[in-house]
Amino acid sequence: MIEQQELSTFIKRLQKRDAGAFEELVERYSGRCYAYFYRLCGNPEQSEELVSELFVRLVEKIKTFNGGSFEKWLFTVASNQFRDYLRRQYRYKRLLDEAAEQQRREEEADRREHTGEHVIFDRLQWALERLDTETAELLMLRYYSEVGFKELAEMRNEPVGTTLSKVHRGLKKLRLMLDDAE
Amino acid sequence: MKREENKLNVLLRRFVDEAAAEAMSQDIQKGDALLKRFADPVLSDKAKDLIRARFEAVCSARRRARRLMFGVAGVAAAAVALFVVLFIGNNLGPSPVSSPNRDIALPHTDERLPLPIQPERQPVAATSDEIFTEDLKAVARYLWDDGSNADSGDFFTVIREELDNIAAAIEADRMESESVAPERFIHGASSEDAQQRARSLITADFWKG
Repeated sequence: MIEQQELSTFIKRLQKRDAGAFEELVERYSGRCYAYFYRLCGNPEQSEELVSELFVRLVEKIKTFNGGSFEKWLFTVASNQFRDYLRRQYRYKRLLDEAAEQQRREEEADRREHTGEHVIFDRLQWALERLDTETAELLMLRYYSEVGFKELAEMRNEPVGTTLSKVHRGLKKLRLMLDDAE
Repeated sequence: MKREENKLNVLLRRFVDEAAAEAMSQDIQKGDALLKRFADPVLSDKAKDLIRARFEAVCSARRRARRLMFGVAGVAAAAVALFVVLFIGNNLGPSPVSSPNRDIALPHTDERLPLPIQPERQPVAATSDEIFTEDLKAVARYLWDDGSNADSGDFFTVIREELDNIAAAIEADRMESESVAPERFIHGASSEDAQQRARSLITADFWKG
């Protein structure tokens, strides 16, 4: 977390498109954003692409930031970007017919086996892939953005009680899956 | 950590009873602890460099686009200004319709040339109208200066005599002007001459009573 005074100076530098500030932005947040995307899509190349797109979006949107928690703002943009990614994936899958989809899966599996990518990053990744996308996204958003429940609820445009309940259920389910796996 | 735990308890108690809030809080903390046990995926330096390169490319492209936009806007503004100046010059001056004599040379338009010499005015002989006016002024002055006769009948006699004199003078003037010029024997009198003569006769008849 950045101190308020430091954050204010940092944002002003970003809004003036100071190259040094953008460098600092990449340095500070690219790791967290990459981990967030990786945990959700499970693909390193795709995650790198998403992080790259995210920083381009931040350049475009930095003037819209008008105070408050910077993490909240940044991860709201990241979350919206992930949803756009899901929509693109959905549209892409819809375009393929069943046979082509099957062939694509086989080819993808072969490719992963060939490159060693078939190894799942860790058990957490395995468990997250078995959770529904919304819950997984909520858990990772909370974990990597490090914002409180109130801000999390605001980011998702839902009541705090609903967010609390979803996080509680999601974490419980995740724990059960991981305990079973052990 | 303890502070965060308390905050979560307080928040949960707004929605559920104390026991449930306590249980939920513990579940969430256990879940968080579990997540922390796993290492985060790490973005490689190579990938980071690619992100930086793309990022810089976008920033510099934006700067170039902005410079280009300002350049184009500047050229457009200059073109508009030039057009406005030319338009005003061509269309807002005196048009040949509103001033049809614009091509006729005005006298002494060149300020460098000396002013044309005007001929001196010569005294002009008094006309009959001027004589008549002078006579009337003289009568008026006489009557004004000699107010002693105002109540007597002689006063009107004097006026009448003076007016008769004026009428006689006018008649003499008319006779003189109507004396036939030699060319009128050839061309005859014009309608203008006839009108003038009729007017003079009426005037003379009036003064004669």
